[in-house]
Amino acid sequence: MRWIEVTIETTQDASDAVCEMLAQLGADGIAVCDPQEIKDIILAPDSLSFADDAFVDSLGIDVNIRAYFAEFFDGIRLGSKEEEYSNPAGVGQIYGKIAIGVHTLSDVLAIISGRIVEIGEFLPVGKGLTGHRYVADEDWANSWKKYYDILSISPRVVICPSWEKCVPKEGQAVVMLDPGSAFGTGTHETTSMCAEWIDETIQKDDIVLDLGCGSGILSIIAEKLGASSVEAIDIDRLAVDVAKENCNRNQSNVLCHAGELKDAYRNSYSIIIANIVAEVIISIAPDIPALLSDGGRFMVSGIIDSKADSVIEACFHAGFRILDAKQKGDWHAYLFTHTT
Amino acid sequence: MAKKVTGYVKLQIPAGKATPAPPVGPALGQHGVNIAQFVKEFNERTAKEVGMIIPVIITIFADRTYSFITKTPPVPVLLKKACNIESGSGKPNKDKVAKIPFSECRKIAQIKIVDTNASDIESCARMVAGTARSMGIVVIDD
Repeated sequence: MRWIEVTIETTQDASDAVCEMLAQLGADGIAVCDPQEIKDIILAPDSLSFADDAFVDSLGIDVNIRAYFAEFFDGIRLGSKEEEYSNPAGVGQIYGKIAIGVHTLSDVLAIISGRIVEIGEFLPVGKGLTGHRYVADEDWANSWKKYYDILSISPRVVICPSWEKCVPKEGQAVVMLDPGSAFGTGTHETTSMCAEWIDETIQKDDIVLDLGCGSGILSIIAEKLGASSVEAIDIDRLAVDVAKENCNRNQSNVLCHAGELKDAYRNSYSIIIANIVAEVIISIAPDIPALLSDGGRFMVSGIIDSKADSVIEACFHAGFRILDAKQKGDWHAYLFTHTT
Repeated sequence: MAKKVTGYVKLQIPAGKATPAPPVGPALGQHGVNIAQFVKEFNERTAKEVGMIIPVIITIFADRTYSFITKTPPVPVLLKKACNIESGSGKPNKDKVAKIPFSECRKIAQIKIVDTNASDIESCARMVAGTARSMGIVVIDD
């Protein structure tokens, strides 16, 4: 079996009607790319997400719809499964007076084109059917794993996905972590710069607060390298659940909970990590010294090139001085300290 | 964490019944997203809505992690529910399958306005009415 992917370019007004038509024809699945939707997500006032202009521009203006039809040895079967089951003899008609049964690709494309023209009598349909291609059936449940491998994130830390076997070298810590719905796999520069600093500077008696913990990767690393206590906070409850799961998998005692800086349990930490975004770091910087032990470190990352100066200024203003700075690609990270 | 968006896709999939087959596999596989985990999470979060087609927006970040939000049901689903019909017409300009007052289109617009570009309820209601007509549902002025 293989799949036929049919591509349609349309407008936001007509996209629901076109999707409905494709579903009624028996499409096994529909993917929609509506550029306005992603712009709304990125530009939302409380959004922590952002994107390059090039990415946003690449989405274009039109709504792009991709529908998938399974092609069997004898062709493409149209109509819903229910209709097929209720007409085992295959002599009836389905939606739009199309005969139940097997259709050729050219038949299916002609039916779709015809239906788009009809929808166009009521709604602005845009360019309509723009192409099709074959998609080979594959083991999608596992094929994404090819993008991941064992990762040496810092001299003493290795990130290992659950399906790999990792034998650590002497003195190396292994963090078992699968990519999922919380940011932080270790492959992104913002995360790896923090991991390197934790590796270089962590002390046995350190008390660590990880703000915006995402998957919990930095907290787990800090604990594995000897921190005496680690607390991980994220405003996203789903991320906290993922972090807890990752801590369990690594037999880690990190204390994970949902909240913000004001919800931190202790009143003094020797390291506070904030791998978030520049705006958030700037807004919390004045409140950090009160929670930092004398000579404690404030590790900040997730700072894009254009915002680096504003972060430094805000931290200087809060009484910090720079111990170290890193840059990878467009991303900056700073290690500050504060003495009373 | 600093979440740089590198991919985005909206899928229309049955609540509680997502599988790694298309559209999920091809749409997310190319971004290296953990498909098995997405399917599990989507099915858990939508288990109570089985029987509905749920639009889900998946945002993919630079380190191949993702987040997803579910949206309101598509307009045709709301129209079919309002008209108590199972499917729209395949020949909407000839075969009419139901009637709906414009005031009902306005009610649907009030649900959908959060997910569309429409500037106000009236323009959103006109889009809903257009979708209704494209399905062979006659819109009656009231």
